[in-house]
Amino acid sequence: MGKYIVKRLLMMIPVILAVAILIFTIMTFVPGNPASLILGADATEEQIRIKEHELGLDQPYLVRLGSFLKQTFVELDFGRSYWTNTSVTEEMMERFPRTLAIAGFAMVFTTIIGIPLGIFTAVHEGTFADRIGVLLCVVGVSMPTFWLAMLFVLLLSLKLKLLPAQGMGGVQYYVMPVIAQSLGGISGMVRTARASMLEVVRADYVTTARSKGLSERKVIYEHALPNAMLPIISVLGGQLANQLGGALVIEQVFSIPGIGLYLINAVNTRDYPVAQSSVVFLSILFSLIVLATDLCYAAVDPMIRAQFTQGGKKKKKGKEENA
Amino acid sequence: MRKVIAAVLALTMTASLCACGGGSSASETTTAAAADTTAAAETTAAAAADTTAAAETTAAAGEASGTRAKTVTLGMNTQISTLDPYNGVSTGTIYLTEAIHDQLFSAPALGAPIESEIGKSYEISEDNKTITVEIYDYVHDQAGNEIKASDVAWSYNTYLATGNATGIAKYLENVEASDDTHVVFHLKEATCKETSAADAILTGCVIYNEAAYDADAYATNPVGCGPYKVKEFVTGASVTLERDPNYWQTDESLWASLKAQNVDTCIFKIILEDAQLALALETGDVDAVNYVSADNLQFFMDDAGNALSGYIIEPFSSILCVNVSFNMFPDAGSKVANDKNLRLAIEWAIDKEGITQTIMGRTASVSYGYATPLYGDYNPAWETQDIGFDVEKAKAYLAESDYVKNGSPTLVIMTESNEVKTKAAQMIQNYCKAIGINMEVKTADTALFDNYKYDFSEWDLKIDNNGSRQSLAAMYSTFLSHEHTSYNGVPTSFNGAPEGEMSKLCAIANNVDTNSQQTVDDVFNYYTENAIIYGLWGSINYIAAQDGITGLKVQALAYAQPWAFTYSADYKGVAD
Repeated sequence: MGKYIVKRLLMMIPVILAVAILIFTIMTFVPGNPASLILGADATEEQIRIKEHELGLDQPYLVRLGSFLKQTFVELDFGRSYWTNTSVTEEMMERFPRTLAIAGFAMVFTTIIGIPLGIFTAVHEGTFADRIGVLLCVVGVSMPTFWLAMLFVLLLSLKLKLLPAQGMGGVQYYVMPVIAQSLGGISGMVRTARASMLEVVRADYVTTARSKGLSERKVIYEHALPNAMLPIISVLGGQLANQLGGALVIEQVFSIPGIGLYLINAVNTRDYPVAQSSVVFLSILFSLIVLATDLCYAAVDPMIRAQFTQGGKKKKKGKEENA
Repeated sequence: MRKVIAAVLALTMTASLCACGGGSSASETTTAAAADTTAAAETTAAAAADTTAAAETTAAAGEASGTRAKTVTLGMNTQISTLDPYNGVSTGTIYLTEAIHDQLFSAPALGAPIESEIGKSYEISEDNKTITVEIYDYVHDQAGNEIKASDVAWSYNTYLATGNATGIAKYLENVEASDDTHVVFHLKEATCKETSAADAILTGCVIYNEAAYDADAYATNPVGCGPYKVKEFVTGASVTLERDPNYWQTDESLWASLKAQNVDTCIFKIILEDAQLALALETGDVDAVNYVSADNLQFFMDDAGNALSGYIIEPFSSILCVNVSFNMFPDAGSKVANDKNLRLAIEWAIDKEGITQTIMGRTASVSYGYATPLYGDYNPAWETQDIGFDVEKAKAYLAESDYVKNGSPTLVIMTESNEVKTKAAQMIQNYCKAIGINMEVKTADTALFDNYKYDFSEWDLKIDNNGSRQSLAAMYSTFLSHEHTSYNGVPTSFNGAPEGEMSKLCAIANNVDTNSQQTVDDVFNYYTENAIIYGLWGSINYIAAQDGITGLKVQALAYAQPWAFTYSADYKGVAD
């Protein structure tokens, strides 16, 4: 298992490098000159050229790419913002907990509400509760997050004055963003869990378990649920990535200074170090999430676990046989 | 099942109606509030005058009656990227500059005489090549470090070295201290006679103590010489300033208009969404907002322009003139550069009053000429001399043009991809269509637009906004002179016009020896007769605040300065 993790971690390196090169290339060739944006409309051409030189923008693409990769992956330094001259690493470390809080809490809600509700609706397939659940899920999936967020603000902040409309501070500032962010995820999770569970409860081994006289509770929790979890885990991994991505929109609506707002602002102002570093940082994060998801597979499914732990041995054995 | 669905839908609709319904209190007005803001609906000049008057009394009133508020929170729709102006001039930074920093002098309002801050007096040599400034001999920064003339010279030279000092770099050769209290500015030969040179230099740089300066730390925690110290900077979220009880200028009678200490703690809260910004004021999350969009004015102001109960609101004219310029570069494929009649046809076909009213409502006033009335050298006569809306004239000019002969090509009108400018471009497209000119709207985000606007092969017409902190003469000289940029190695104006009559007229209007209303009029006449550029509107910025704030205060660019607002004796801020 340890070897597998190391192998997967090594495999992440070319992925992250590719992402870094891609985002660098995109930012380089997207029109828009940070030097002229920084200096404003009345800057002369000469002043813009001097600024470009100062920022290193007048160097060839490959030279700039090389120094970017060296700085990021060798010196482990994300550089400094063109606009503020502040350290990008420090800024991201200050902002990331906010993004993680939104995505993390949304993920928790998605999991603890979505999975049980999905199982409940599957087990009670065709009942009134199931139909209501399915209907609400369709509504939840269909509603754009930003629109939902605005409705929450109007109702809970403006009308009922229960929660702050935006900004950051105590826990109360995260309630609306997290609810708005998680509703879509919960609806999606209910649908996935329901579909997965329905497939399993119709399987022969579940019928066999029932025919052996096991209680319905045992059948569901001990036989059906573990087998239904695989596709759910797969979706969970994707959900966390989605929640991180979705937090970008929520941060904008609720004026929460997280990574998303930082990235959007950087793209708009062509703050290359910030945009590039944010994307690289998120790509590392997403890679780790995918790895964690795969490890969860192994924990849940003995077959996959066996593949992980015996994969090396099988290969060796095969070579020995060939010899 | 149908009944269940019906019940769910009914519940959803009820919830939505609850959420979206207008507040009853919001529609009520108060006579007192109405009386306070009767002038609210009036535009530029009046507002500017009121503001200046209020500015003069702000500090005195606040101090005399002992009505210093405890805390004020300003919601603002712009990022504060850095607190050190040496890092670049972003809008957010400008908002806080006068609180944290002192300069030699400051401009309280557009066209107003500059006021003393660290600089005690100044003298310009007869040949305009040097400016000598005497500074006060008891200046210190917020950490108690003494500020001498050498610190002033170092500050200017350091700022120039950053490459970000675009406002002063074109004028300054070098700066040196002649003794502890005198600084000598040596101006460049080529620009020393420009009308805006002295004001730009004297108000263009914040002053630091050389030994204390730390470029990294000052981005978020600068030690300036202004009346407020930085208490907390939460990246992307807020900046908290607190009053400096040891502000170096102890004689309040010498404070410039923008220097005041009418509140102990000043919080700037960043709320980028316009709708959220308005909501923050409604829900009591902030004491004031720096901007109210046209869509949200209804929540703070009635149709007659009176503030609704619980709020005060005032209009402040912006220096920016939103304009349509024609691509005048002759050899880059512009379909209008060599066809004056076509340009005139387009100008006469556009109903800019209709555009302004439809898109901007109360948040703009129609622009006559490439100008707004806020500038000292604006000539009211232009309002009758400017090109108007006359379809018949437009058709006549079109008939005289080569447009049809050239196969009625589709012209490209380019603008930033924001809602307002895109709508304006679409309306212009329709006006032109009405007389038979085909037009295509091309939009780009701010950074892309910034790139494309100097690529004269990309567009035929362009919607942009320009302004100057000094005068129209300075603005014309900056944007209409051929020294603004270059394309294919040819120096051109911001709309592609190479060296020619326009540049000459701008240089004459912006020279201290020849500047006069007549020479500025000459520029107006030239660009109007030749249809080179065409103003659409001048923006009006509404600032709204909770009742209890008795007076609003803005600086020259109409940015709210909450530490200089006036407050009622019993005012309690939302954060108190």
